[in-house]
Amino acid sequence: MSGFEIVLVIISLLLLLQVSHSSYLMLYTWSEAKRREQARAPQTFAPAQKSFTVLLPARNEEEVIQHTIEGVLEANYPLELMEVVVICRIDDKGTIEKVQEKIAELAPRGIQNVRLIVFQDTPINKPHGLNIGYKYTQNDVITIFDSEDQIHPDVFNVVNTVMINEGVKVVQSGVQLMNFDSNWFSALNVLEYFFWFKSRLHYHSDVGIIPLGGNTIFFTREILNIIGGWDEHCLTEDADIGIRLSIMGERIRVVYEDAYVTKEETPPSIGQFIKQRTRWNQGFLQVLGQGVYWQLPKLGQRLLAFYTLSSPILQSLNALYVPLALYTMFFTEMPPLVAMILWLPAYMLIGQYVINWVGLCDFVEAHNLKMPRLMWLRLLVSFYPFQVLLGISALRAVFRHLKKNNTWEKTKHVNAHRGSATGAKA
Amino acid sequence: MSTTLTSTFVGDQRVSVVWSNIALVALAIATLIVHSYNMFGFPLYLGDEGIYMSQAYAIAKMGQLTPYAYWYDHAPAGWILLAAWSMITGGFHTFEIAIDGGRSLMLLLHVISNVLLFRVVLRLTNNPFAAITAGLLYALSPLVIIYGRMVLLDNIMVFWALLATMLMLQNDGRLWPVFYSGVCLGLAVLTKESAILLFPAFFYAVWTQVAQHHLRFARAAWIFGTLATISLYFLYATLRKELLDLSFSSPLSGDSESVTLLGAMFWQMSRTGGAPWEPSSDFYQALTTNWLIRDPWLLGIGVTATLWNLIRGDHGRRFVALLSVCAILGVARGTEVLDFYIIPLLPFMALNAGLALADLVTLARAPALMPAFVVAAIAIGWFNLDGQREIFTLNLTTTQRQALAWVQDHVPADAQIVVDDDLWVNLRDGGPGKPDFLGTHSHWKVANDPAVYEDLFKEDWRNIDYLIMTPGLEQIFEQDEGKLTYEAYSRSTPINSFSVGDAAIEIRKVNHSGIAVNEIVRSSYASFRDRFIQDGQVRPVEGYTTAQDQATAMLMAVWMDDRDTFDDVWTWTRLNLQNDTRLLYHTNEPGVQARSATDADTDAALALLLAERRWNDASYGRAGVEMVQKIWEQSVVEINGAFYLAAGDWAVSDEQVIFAPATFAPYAYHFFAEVDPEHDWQNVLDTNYQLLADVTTDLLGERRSAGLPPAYVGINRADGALMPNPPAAPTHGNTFDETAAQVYWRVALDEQWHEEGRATSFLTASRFLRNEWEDKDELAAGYAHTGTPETKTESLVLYSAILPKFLVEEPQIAHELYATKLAAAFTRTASGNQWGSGTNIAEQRWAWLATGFYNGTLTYEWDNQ
Repeated sequence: MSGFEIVLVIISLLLLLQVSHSSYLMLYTWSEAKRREQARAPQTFAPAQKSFTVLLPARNEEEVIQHTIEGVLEANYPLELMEVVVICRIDDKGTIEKVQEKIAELAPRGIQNVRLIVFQDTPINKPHGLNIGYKYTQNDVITIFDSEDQIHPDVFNVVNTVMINEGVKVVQSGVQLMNFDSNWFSALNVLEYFFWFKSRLHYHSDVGIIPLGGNTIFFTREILNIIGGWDEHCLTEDADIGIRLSIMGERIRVVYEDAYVTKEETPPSIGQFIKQRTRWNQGFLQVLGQGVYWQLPKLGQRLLAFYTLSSPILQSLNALYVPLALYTMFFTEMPPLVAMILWLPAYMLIGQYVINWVGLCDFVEAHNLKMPRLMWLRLLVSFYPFQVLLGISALRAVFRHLKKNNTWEKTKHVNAHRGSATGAKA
Repeated sequence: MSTTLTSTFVGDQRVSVVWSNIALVALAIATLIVHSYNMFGFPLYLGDEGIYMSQAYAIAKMGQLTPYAYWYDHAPAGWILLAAWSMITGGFHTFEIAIDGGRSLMLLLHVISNVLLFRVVLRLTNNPFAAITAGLLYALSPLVIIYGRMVLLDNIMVFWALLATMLMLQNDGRLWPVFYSGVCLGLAVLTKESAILLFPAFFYAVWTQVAQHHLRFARAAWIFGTLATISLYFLYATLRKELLDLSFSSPLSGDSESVTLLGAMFWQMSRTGGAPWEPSSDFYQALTTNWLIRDPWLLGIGVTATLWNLIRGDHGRRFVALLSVCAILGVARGTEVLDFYIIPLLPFMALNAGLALADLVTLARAPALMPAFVVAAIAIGWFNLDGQREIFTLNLTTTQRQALAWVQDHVPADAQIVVDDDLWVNLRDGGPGKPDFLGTHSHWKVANDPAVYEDLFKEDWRNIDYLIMTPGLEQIFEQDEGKLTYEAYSRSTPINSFSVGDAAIEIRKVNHSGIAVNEIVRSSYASFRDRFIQDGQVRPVEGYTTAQDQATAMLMAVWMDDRDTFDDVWTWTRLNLQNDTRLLYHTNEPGVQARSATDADTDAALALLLAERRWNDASYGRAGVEMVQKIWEQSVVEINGAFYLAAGDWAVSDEQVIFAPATFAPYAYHFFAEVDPEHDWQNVLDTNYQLLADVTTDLLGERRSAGLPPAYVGINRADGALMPNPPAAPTHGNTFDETAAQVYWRVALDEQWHEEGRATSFLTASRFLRNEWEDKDELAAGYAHTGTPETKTESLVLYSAILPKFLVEEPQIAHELYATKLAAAFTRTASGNQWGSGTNIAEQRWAWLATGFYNGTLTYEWDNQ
């Protein structure tokens, strides 16, 4: 075997390992009956006891912010146990105006617990807003929602029950993108979330190292105080805080019940998607670079953290690999054994497609949606291009990280998911 | 699962676990013992076993899937496993015969298979007794033991299929066992494609055995596992551009240029064997003449149990019943059926038996019946095996081992040998201290693979040297007389055979010289030189150097282009055996009267003349000419104007000249005439040819003449009359002994070199020897002039000297003679290659001269002229 072939074989085997591990994680919840059970929400609710602080950091969200506030208030939870805080920067005139309008409208309805906090210092980013927000509030449990989130009315009951019954201090409830039919990549995006919250997160939880989500995440005030809030210089403050909590050994309960998920929308365009992904990838790289994760107690945890945080790099390799492998296979003479090894990651990608398709069937059934015709074909055709998209974002993140360009690129929201189907199978 | 039985064990949960483990270990040990006892001796090695070992060898040592072109007859997972096993167990020589190594893997897989079988029954019935009954029915069945020992893909496939079954039944709501079950089934298909027929049963299992919480994922995982694994085979073919070809003719027919996977698939599917209910069909024959005779119990109980489980089963039991049904259909669907196709049925028969019996016991509410069934299973096994004891006592494979050992000792390493595959690996790679016969070829390939019969052998049977015929091979060759294998076989002579009971192996030499003989000439010369020649002297084991030894050594050195040896031998001869008159003494034994021997002188002189030709050195020629002239002076006697040849200086007296036909070397006199024009060598030629004819046909004082030349005859110097049995001759003159026979070699050489018509007539004049050979397949070491044999012993020198006569007279007989008397006598020993015991120099010399003649090595012209 020539040197080039040896390199290709090694890369193929590494990728095979990575994709296999990824598939294993994707199927984690379904691999054993008891795992499904562990992830579920409680069937009956405890009486409302904990008080909640809902942080709504918003920037340029004038179109949707009023719906968001209304959505929170529609929760099946005693209003006196909830305080809602919208956090804006002083120069965000549009959003501030809308919020003040909403607060004014609520007053005659007897609702006093919605407030607006405005800050004028730097950095201009979400973690800074959160830190301010949580300092100027006082309820037991702090949670965050993004402006486009459509929360389930019972989500507070679920968290309340879980925190009382199980004594956990951090709860991550499920977030699900819903608009799988909007554009060519939305189905795969939806499925990403589906597998992440329904399965992969549970694996992380069992191992003891979780990168947390940016919303529908619930912290007790005391744990936030202990941990010192969010890192204001990080692009993915949620991942960072998750790792710090894991280092402390704090048990994080993940709840995924199809019925209770917080519904979100996919980015409306490729450009937006790439921006969002770049930010996430870059954030991971930042956290990776800080090296804090190395303080995790067990080697397995450290490896998993390292592996998760370096996924941007691996994703770039993935996207580059397939055309390279195809080219070498069809245009150069290669011993059949080597060629077969090069094909193995392709097998795993096909396997991932199959997993995605089955997941989509489950998803559609769980949320009582209708499966469009020939969806399997659309999924198949968009599969590799989606990988390319992820790869581009990853590469972009690597470059930006190397050039130390850390500004936030915000994603636009258009409420594509609101007004979608109502109930979901529990 | 039967709920009634679990209650029996609910209170004794720990006890049942302990019992289960004990039963399992006992079963494993029983399987191990019964399977392994005499497993290397019975049954006979099947050609198929050799094919798979040779393919495993190709993977491990040659870096390719098969030794010859891979034509996708089977997917390679089976012999890939064999290759891995061979490497783990330290190579192909850890066991004496390569197939034994494969059989040891079969043993391991068999024990594991039975363990899996046990676990499946235990899982479905919760009854260790039922499990052990099933296991015993399987372990003690003669069919299972006989076919399970053989290195066959079916046995490996069964292992994977049982593993897939167990994983599926014990998935307990976990996803990965379901996936692995699919992969195992895929591996079963990649081992032997007939595993595909198990799919309907597995579809049923995937439908019913998968838990609700992950229904879609588990089913998708199973399908993916199976398809992905199987697709590797198609991927491989595609990467080699051998997936598809537009012509679907059988790749074996040699019509299509390339092999293709799909082509092979279609060919396999087209092999029919007759509808299963037809008495003439393969299936019916195998069933009634073999399977039902060896073990009617397992088959009978198994089929009944299958029906029982189909009707009465829960999903798990019905799945197992369906597996059995699929396996039965696999065999009884009208395709070609070989005896060992029963293999996949047997474990499922046993499985179903165990399940049905457990069910029966529950139905009858009589738990005590189950241990009784265990005893019954043991009894059935005992009864069966007792009637087929040869499984444990008969060592059939010794014939194959003996044949291998003989070939390794007697056949030259360059030989092209056609074999059945069972000895392929061991011949190709002999291991430490044994030769590697790189010319070993599977007869299937010689008959059917163009790369072998066309490219390698040029469609000429003469390029094949040996055939090793195992039982049944003859019938296969006779099926198609157009094939190269049949052509070579029909022109071959058996030279040895080994047999035990009815099984016999025969080794045959093809009636042609070819590569093998050439190598014998080369290697035996090297051995002769290394063993007998020191500092130019040919030293016999006992006795003293003779002039004939030296002269022949000189000739051999010229023919083998070994100038150094030639110089050494000639120098020693010159210094030690020559007298002033420049002729060779007869021997260097001290105190013995020095005599010359005309044959030694003539050969030495000719050797010198040939040396000049070969190596372009005139000094040899000068010495040769000197000698020629002296021969004339000393050994040629004129009688009434004709020049007669004397046997030596001792053979000339005042009254007579003693003529020894063995010293008449017409092939040399043509050269002598050229270099010594002063003397009338042509007359010598004419006179003595006539004399030779005369002394052969003359009665010589006996009642009749068989047309055999005498050893010595006196010629009256006065009138040229014949004087039989001269007293001065060293032996009885009229006898045709090994010395007299040497004239045939000499005259035949003249015929070969100069196309001398008188040579031909002399050689073909008497059919006596030919008839003797035809009648008795052997010749005596000496005959009276009348033709009566004088001894019962044989002489290698005589055979060697006569061989050239037969080559001219009737080549077929020559080939037989060569094959049975010379080739068979050739042996490879630690000290070199030799004929017979190797101690008799005359034998070694003459056997070499005969083999060289047969091979065409003895020439007088070379390209450098």
